[in-house]
Amino acid sequence: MSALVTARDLAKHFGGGGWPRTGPVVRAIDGVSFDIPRRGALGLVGESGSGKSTTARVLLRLQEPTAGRFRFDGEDVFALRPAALRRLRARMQIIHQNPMAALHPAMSVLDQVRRPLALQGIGTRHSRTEAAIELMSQVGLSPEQGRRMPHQFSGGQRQRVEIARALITRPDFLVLDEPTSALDVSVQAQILRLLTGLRAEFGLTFLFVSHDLGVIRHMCDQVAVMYLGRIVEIAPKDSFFATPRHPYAQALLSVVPVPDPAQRTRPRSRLTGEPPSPRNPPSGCAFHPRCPMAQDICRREAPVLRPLAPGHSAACHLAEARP
Amino acid sequence: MDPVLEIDGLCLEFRSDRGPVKVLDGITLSVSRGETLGLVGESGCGKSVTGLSVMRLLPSPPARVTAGDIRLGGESLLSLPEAGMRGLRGKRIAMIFQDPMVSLNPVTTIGAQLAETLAIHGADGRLRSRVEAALAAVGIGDAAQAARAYPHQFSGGMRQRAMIAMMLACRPEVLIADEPTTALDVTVQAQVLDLIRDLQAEIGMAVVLVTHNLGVVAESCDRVAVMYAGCVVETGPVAAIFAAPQHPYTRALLAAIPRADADSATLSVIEGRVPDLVDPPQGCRFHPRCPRASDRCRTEKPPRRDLGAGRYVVCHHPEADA
Repeated sequence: MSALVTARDLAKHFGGGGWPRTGPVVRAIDGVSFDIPRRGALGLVGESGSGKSTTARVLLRLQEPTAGRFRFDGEDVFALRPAALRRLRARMQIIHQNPMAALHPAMSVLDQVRRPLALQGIGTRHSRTEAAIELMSQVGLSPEQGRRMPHQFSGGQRQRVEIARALITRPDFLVLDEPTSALDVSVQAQILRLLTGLRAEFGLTFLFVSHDLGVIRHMCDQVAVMYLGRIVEIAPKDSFFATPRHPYAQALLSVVPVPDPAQRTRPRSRLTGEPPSPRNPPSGCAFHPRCPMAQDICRREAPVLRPLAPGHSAACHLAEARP
Repeated sequence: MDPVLEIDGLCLEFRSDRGPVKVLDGITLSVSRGETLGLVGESGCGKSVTGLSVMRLLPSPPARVTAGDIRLGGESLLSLPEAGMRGLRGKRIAMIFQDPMVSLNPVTTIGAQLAETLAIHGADGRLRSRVEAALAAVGIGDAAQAARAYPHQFSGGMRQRAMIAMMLACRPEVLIADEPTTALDVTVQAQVLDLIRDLQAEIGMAVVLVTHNLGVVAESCDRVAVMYAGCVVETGPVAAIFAAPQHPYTRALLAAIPRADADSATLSVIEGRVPDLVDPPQGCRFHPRCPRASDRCRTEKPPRRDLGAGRYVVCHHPEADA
């Protein structure tokens, strides 16, 4: 199957500020590559500052990349001129973590849901309204609710509005940046169920950014783990959760709190310290200061992603040495 | 074992333009020395308000206790004059919050803030060495240097450690930890939970862990109280409740979590949304969303049923009856 989304060596560096431009450069992401097949779902997981949201934003050119290539259905997105990019945006949409910040506070919900169609010049005023009302009902909102303003909705309903607005142009590709992180468990379950249904119905391809491995496991069929701006492991979901290869991924999985007291005694690899600052990354492998099995080579040389099993790669010098 | 902290039938309202908001409706809880009680529920269920009312940190008005009592070591906290309460806060009951950046003074060094806490509670003389010992006790490496740092120079995990150091200065009998790890990354969350557990074992304090995360409860609590719309719907030992939840809400909540350790086929969805507490549903507050609701649930408040082995459920139709 050919990939709908092909990202190669994405990089986004910030800074180099001041005059002359000699300020420190923060490498928010570097060398990020992945493919997502049509109708596939890639989960991007990592802790704060790992670069997962930057990856999502750079892909859609909400922030201009420093380097890299992104082919979307054969088009070279980073080379597109503004008018062509805007047309393509109908096919690539994003859902944010905080819908209250993403929605216009003083525009009715119906206006916001149909607006992307007007901006793309699709249909007539009447057909746009019809389409918006239909999509709102598909995400569980009634036509009467269309006249209301965002502040009159609960967090879960606002996320439904954002989903309707993102899907109104019938995109193929949906980037979801922590779409349920601000929601309660029971509301999260409602939204995840809705997204699963819509993914099948509209044949969507997902890039799903989350810090929650449980959500990733539930929603995705491929997982990429980021640490300090780089992908350190990428694998099909089943292979990843059965045998994570990178020591960071192993530690992450072992410390996720599991709602099952019987598992309290399971072996855990406790990490010491906190993720380092991308302003001043460690030498060699960025994870070595926290890695329980770091050796000399890890301090000297940055590891590259190497295939270790079918479709399963990890960036660790020592990955093969372990079962 | 004798409970250190007891909450007995606590009812609390907030005054509002639309009439009183019945935020807590008959909360009954207790926690013993050395024990960790998880207080779990979704936004607006009253878990944080319960913690704050124990500390008497809610401004009154608008908050008003309409019934019930809170006792520390058998002594009523609600009838205590404010001066007496001030003597207890920090000394016998301490609280830490979700966002340490809000609790810490941004323009004073960590060391000076710790020293102030120690001095207020009667530490004498050599404050600097006490401060450094307190920081070292919570696993902050270079304590002398850390004492001179300002809060913004600390990472989130370090700030929470500093808060814990302050809280521990007086070796309180009860710690109320309100979402202490919610703002932290999962690897750091594990470190902070370990730290609280180690310190608890050392000084034998009772911990009330307020959280929305059932995973955290399963990992670090002895007992759990599940709250919904201002009521405790179920309470008991963690292992028993997670293995066989009796209240339909507990059951649905557990089945709504996408798990990292197993494939979850479909997530259970609780239809509808939490009620407006200005006008809460008659009878059981969960009945409009409950798959097992009967006529009785719509009219009659469910009793607190004793299921034995320290388990209680507030439901007309618990799982055991089904």
